[in-house]
Amino acid sequence: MTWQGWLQILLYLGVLLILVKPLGLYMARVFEGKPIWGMTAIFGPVERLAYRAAGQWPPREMTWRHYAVAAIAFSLMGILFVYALQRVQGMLPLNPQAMGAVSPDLAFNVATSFVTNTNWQNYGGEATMSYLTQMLGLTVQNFVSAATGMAVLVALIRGIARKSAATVGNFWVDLTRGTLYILLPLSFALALLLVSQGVIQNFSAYKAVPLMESASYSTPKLNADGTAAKDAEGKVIADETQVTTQSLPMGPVASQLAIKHLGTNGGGFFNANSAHPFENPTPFTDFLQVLAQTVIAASLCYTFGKMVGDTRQGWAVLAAMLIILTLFIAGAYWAESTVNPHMAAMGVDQSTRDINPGGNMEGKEARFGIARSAMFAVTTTATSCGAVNSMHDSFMPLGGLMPLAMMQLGEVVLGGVGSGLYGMLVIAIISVFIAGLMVGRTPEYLGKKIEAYEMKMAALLILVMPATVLLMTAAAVILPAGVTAISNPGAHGFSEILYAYSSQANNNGSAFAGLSGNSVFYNLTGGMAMLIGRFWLIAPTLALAGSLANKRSVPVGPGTLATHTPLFVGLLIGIVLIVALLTFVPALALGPIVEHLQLFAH
Amino acid sequence: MDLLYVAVVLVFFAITWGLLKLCQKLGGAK
Repeated sequence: MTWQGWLQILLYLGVLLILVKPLGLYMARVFEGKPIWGMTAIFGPVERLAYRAAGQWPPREMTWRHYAVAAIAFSLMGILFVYALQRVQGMLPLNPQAMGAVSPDLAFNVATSFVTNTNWQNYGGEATMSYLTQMLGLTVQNFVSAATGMAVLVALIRGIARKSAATVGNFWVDLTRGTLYILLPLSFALALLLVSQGVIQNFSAYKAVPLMESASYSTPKLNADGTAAKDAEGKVIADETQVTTQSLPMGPVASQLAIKHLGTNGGGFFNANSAHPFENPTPFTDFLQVLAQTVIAASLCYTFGKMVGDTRQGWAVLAAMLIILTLFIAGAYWAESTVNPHMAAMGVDQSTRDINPGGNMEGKEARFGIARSAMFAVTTTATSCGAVNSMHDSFMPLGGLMPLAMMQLGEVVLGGVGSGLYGMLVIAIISVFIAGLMVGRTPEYLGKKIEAYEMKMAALLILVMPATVLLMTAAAVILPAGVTAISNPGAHGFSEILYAYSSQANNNGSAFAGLSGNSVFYNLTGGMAMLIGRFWLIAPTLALAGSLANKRSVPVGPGTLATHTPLFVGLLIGIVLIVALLTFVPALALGPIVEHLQLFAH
Repeated sequence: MDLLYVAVVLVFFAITWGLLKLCQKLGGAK
C-alpha cells in the first residue's frame, strides 16, 4: 500500500461528499414535480408527450398497487422487446459486423439482465450484439431500469412522508422525470468528458490494424469424427497459423458507458468492460467512472432527507453506508497488496517500488494499479453496478471476498440507483423494530408506527435474496450442468458459483470470470435469479410504501428512538453486517476463507 | 424455443402478480 493509493481513495470520497447535497437537492426538486430552470422549457413538451403516450394525461396519483402493476408491466414489455430485438438483429440495420441472431437462452438471460438493472453478460458485446441492439435494446434499458429503481424509491419516500394518504405518486411521472431531468443530462455531460479522454464513439466497422510483431499459434488438425489427428508416434498434428493483423472493435461506446455507470448498470460495450482501453483509457476516466457509479445513489440519501423534511435522516443513512464502504475498500486494498506465495515462488517481483505497483497485479491493468482496482471492485459491488476494471477472479481470496460480501449485504451500501436506498430503509425499519423489542416500546420510524404488516413485508424483503442465492448455489454445485462450467475446481470454483448467484440475485452483474456461464443451465437459472431479486423485492417495497402512507403521524416523544444520531448509525451498521454475516458466513467459509487458508498453509 | 422462454417470462410475472395479491391480502393499505 502506498500513500498515493490512499490519497486516491480519500480524494474520491471527498469529491463524492461534495456532490451529495447539490445533486440531492436537485433530485428532490425533480421528484417533487417542481419546474427545473432551463430544462423544463426543453424537456417539458417531451414529458407531456410521454404522459399522453402512457394514457396518463393529466397524470393521476396511484395507489401502491396501481404503481406496482405499472412498474411491473413496463418491465415485462421491456423484456419481451429486448428479447425480440436480439432474435431478429441479423435482419435489422446498424449491423456492420453482420451479427446473427442471439441464441434463445442467451437472449432470455440478456433481456432479463438489462431490464432488472443487473447487466450480467454471458457474452462478449463486440462479438455478439449489433450496434442497433446495443443502443435501442441495451442502452435504453440502462436508462429506464435505473429510472424504475428511482421511481420505486420515491414511492417509498412518499409513503414515509405522507400522512393518512391513499396514494404514493404516479409511476409514469416518476419514470419520465427521472430519465429526462436526471439520467439524460448527467449522461450527456459524462459522455462528453469521456470522449475528451479517448473513449470511442462511432458507427464504424471494426478496423484491421497490422501488429507491431506478428504472432503465431497452432491449432490441432481434426479427423472426420472431430478428434485430434495424430502422427505415427502418437503426437498431435497441428497447423501453424501466422497472425499479422489485429481486429479492433469500434462502436458508440461513450454514450453507453456514461449511463452504464450513472445508472449502476454495469454492462460493458466490450467483453473486458472497464479494463478495455477504449472504455477506460486513463486513470482520470477511471476516477470519473467510480464517481459516476456512486454519486446518484449517495445523493439520493440527501433527497430522502429533504423529502421527509429532515435532512439529518439522510445524512445518518449515508454515514452508515460510507463507513461500511470505506472499511471494505481498505480491506480489499490491503488484501490485494499482499504477496501471493505462489507468484513469489516463481520469482515474480511483488515489491512496491516507484516502477512497480507491487502486490497481486494478476488480472489488473498497469494504468490503474492496486488501489484503483480495489476501489473499483468494492464500489461496483456496493452499488450493484457490476462493471469491472480488473478481473475479480484473479483477486486474492480475501480480496475477492470483499466484493462478494458487499453484494451479500443486500446491495444496501449505496446500492443500485433507487434500489439501494429502499433496501437500506427496510433495514432501518428492522433496526427500529429490534431496538423497540429491546426496550419494550412500539417501534416507530419517522413518525410512523412499525406494526405487524410492515414487519411481514420487511421479512420478505430480507429473506428473498439469501434464499435465492443459497438454494441456487446449492443446486449448481450438485448438478453436473452446474459443475461443468467451473474452470478452477475446489474452493475457488465454489466461490465462482456463489459469486455468480450473489451477483445476479442482487442485480449486480459482475462475475468471477472463470465460470463459463453461457449455457442453458446458467442462462435460465441466472435469469430467474435476476427476476426474483428485482421484482419480488419491488412488490413488498411498494406494499410497505402504501401501508406507511396510510398511517397517521405519531408525534415525537421522550421515548422515541432518534434515527439521526451516531447511536442509530452504529445500530444500522450492526444490523446490516450481522444479518448478512449470519446468512452467508457458512457459504463464505467454504469458498474464499478456505481458499485463503489453503494458499497460506505452507 | 422462443415460445418456451416467453412462456417462462410470462409465468414468472403471473407469479409476481400473485405475490402482489398476497401482499394486499396480508393487510396492506388499499
